[in-house]
Amino acid sequence: MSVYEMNKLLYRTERDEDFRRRIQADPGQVLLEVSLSDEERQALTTGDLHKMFHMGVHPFLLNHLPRHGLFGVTRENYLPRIRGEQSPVS
Amino acid sequence: MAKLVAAVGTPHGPMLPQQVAEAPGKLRSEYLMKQVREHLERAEADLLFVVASDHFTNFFYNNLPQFCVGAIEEAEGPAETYCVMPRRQVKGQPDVAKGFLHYGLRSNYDLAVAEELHLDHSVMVPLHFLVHSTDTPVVPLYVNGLAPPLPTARRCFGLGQTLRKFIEEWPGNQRVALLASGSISLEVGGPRVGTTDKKWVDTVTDLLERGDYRGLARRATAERMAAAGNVSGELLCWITVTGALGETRPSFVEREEGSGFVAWNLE
Repeated sequence: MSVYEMNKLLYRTERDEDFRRRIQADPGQVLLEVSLSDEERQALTTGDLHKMFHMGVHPFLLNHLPRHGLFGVTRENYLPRIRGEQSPVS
Repeated sequence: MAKLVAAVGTPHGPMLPQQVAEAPGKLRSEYLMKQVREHLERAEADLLFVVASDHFTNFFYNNLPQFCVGAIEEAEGPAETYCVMPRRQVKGQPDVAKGFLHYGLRSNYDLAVAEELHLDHSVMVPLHFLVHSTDTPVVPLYVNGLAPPLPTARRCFGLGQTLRKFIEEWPGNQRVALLASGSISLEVGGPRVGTTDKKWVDTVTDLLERGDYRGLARRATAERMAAAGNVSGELLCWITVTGALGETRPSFVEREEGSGFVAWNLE
C-alpha cells in the first residue's frame, strides 16, 4: 500500500503549480513517475473515489480532483462516486 | 505584564469571502462575522493569537506537527487556489511566538515552531472579516484538527491554560486576543458532504454558553468529533481557546449551520 504516495500526488496537485500543469497536460506520464500499485493507479485513473476513500486517501485531498479537472471527476459526479452509487468509467 | 482581553471564535469557509463579495449584505454569516468583529474591535487588542488547523498547506504527512507556533516576521495568504479573496501580508510577532515556544517546552508542551508560513484560509478568512487593520500582529498557533490521529481535547485544553499563563507572565504591555478558527460539524470531500450533526452543534454551543469548557473537552472525544464530520476536529482549536478563558462565559453566541460565532470579553 502506498496511500502516502496517493495523498502526496493530490497534495502536490494543489500546492505545486508546475506539477499541476504537468498532471493536467499529461496525467499518464506523471503517473509513471510515482510509485503506486496497479490497484492504486487503476483507482486514480478511473476516478474511483469510493475505492480511494476506502483505501484511506484523505477526503480533503480527494476534493482537489474536481477542483483541478483530473481523472474525470467533476463536482456533479463527486458525491455519487464517493458514496459508491455511481461506477467510475473504466 | 501582557493581558488577555478578549476571545472570539468563527468558522473559516474558504468560499465565504467570494460569496459575500458577490452578494453583499445577503448572507447571515457575513452579518455574524460583523457582530464578532465589533466585539473584537471593542477590546482594542494589539496582538492576536489565531488558533487554527492547517489544511495541508504548510504541513503534510511528510512532517505533520500536532501543535506548531508560527514565529513569523510576516507571511502572506491565502495560498490555496480555491479561496478567492484579496491576498494579504500579515505581520507576525516572533518574540512573543518564541517566548511561547520556550514557555510551552518548560510546561510540558513540546511545540513545533515554523519561522516561515503560507497562511491558509483557516487563518486568512477570519482575518479578512474580523481584522481590517494590517497593523495588528498575529501569532498563528496550529492545532492538528484535520489529519487523524488528532491530539486529545484534554491536551488542547491544557495548551490553552498554558497560553493564558504565558500571556499573564509575558513582560510586555500587550492587550492580547485569541481567535478560534473552525467548524463544529463539517464534512469536506467525504461521503457525508451536505449533512450537519445538529445535535452535536447544539451540545457544543450549549456548553460554550454555560461556560462548561471542561465538560466540552470531556465530551469531545476523537470518536464523537469524527461522527460529526471529517473536519469536525477543528473544534480542537476552540477547545484550546476555552482552556485560556477560566470561568468567563461568552457575551455572544450564535449558531449557523455546522458552526458557531462566539465572542468573549475578558475584562
